[in-house]
Amino acid sequence: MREIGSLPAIFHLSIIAALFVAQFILPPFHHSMLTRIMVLAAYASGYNILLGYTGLMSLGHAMLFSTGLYSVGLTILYLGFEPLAAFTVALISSLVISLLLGAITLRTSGVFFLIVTMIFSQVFYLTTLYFNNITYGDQGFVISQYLHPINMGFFQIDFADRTVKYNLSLLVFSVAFLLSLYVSRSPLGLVLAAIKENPDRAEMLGYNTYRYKLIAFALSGTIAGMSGAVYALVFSYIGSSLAFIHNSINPLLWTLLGGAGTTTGPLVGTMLMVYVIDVTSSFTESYLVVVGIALILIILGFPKGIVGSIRKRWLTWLP
Amino acid sequence: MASVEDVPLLETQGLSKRFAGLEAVKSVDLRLEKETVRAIIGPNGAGKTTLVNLISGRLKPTSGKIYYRGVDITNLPAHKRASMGIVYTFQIVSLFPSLTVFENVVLAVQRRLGRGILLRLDRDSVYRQSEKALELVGLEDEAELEAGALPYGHQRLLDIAMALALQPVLLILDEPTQGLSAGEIEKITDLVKKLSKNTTILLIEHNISVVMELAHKITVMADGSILAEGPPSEVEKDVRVQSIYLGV
Repeated sequence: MREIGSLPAIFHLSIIAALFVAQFILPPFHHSMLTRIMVLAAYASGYNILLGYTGLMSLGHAMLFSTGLYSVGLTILYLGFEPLAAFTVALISSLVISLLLGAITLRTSGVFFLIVTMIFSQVFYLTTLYFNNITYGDQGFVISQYLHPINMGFFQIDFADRTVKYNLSLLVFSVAFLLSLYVSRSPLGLVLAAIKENPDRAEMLGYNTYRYKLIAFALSGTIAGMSGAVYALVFSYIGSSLAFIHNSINPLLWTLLGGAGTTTGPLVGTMLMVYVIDVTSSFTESYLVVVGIALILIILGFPKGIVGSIRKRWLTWLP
Repeated sequence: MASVEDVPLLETQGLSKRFAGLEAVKSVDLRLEKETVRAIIGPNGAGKTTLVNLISGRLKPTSGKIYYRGVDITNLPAHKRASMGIVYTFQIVSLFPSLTVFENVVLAVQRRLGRGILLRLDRDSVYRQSEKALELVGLEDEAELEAGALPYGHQRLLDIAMALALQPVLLILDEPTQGLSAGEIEKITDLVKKLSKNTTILLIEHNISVVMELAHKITVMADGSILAEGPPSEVEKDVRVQSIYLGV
């Protein structure tokens, strides 16, 4: 029943272990691709908690991702924060911002929720452009020169080191991934599933559905902010383009492609999209056409997303 | 002097609901005594479902008050009323169709036993009580099926099992026998009878023989108002009731 169960637990830990081992095997190009994929997959996994497990489609996550991104970037650039302190600020601010954004937007539902979250996010985006004397707007800024290595006694954590980048990405992905597993198999997750399916009935069972949706929103938003913070630390770039609506649509796309409401779907979807874009853009400039066609074909073959369809046909135990 | 014992379990005062020009419920004063079965009957459009929706909190009244155990609950949201023991089962079966039968009941039980985000939940008690709730309606063998895959009558039983798992103080059943076979109707009638020993039941029902068998008191509604009220034997004789409802 609603217990994590040993098979899913082993399965999830194996995936994390495989990703850990991969760094010793992969050639440099794929090593850096996977670093990127894991940060973005963490973002998508957080998004999936809201879309896949609670049934709420947001187009405002770029704002939450950017809250983490800018928290790290601005505190390091202007206040000279150490990476860990900057990361803590990012976690707290993205939790606060997602609670506020959720508290307002969750008063709406369906398409209205989609639009209201998008509007807030666009306002945030325009704000980062407006204050370009601070944020450097679209052009953005780089923090690598301020990222001093952290001394851990025996060894140093140097943010310029690709091994550090890889494992930082793996860490944030693992957190998001395991939280998704928890949500999919916990009593809390069962309530979210109930709200997704029949909110009226959930309310009549005595659940304060607004509050539970807010919890899911805050969890999802904080993971988005955490991913944004790690993105800033790993890629060292902070710019407005990451607050643009494009970056709200991305996790939606990755999640749907991989399978909404599956724990592994966001990883699979993100990996596929990042690679497809990379491969196609290397031989044609109109690569988005190819990406679009690929997406249509995949969705035709896997209407519930790749992992969602696999689960339906073969592996019904997949969380 | 009214003692605590005299306070009715539920009381509505001048309860009204207007939908864009239509007055569905007109100044209804209803008093429910503890641990009795009250049936509300009346023709379609009499305002019965609207009235119980006001009581359960799914709808907000246009005017009037609702008291539960002497406390004004008029402005409480539906989920608060549910956690206070006012449990409503929908007229149309309402489940979580893609979750299993067991998970449907677990949702009811864990709401009653849990707090907050349900971290410190005693899962053993949740499972034990969920199993018990399913046994009560005889669905224990279907526990692992998807709720949506059950035949209609069993879905209705599951719906009621979920309501019972909440251990209601006031159970509102909106046409529980609609669309059921004779055997299933008998099962539900027996269940309600058993329950009524320690639960107050408000029953909307079209099946007159079920009403006569179960109800201690009947309220007849027509056109949004209470037309007559009394024990079954009296209501049956009431000429006005016969003319508007029993079709005599």
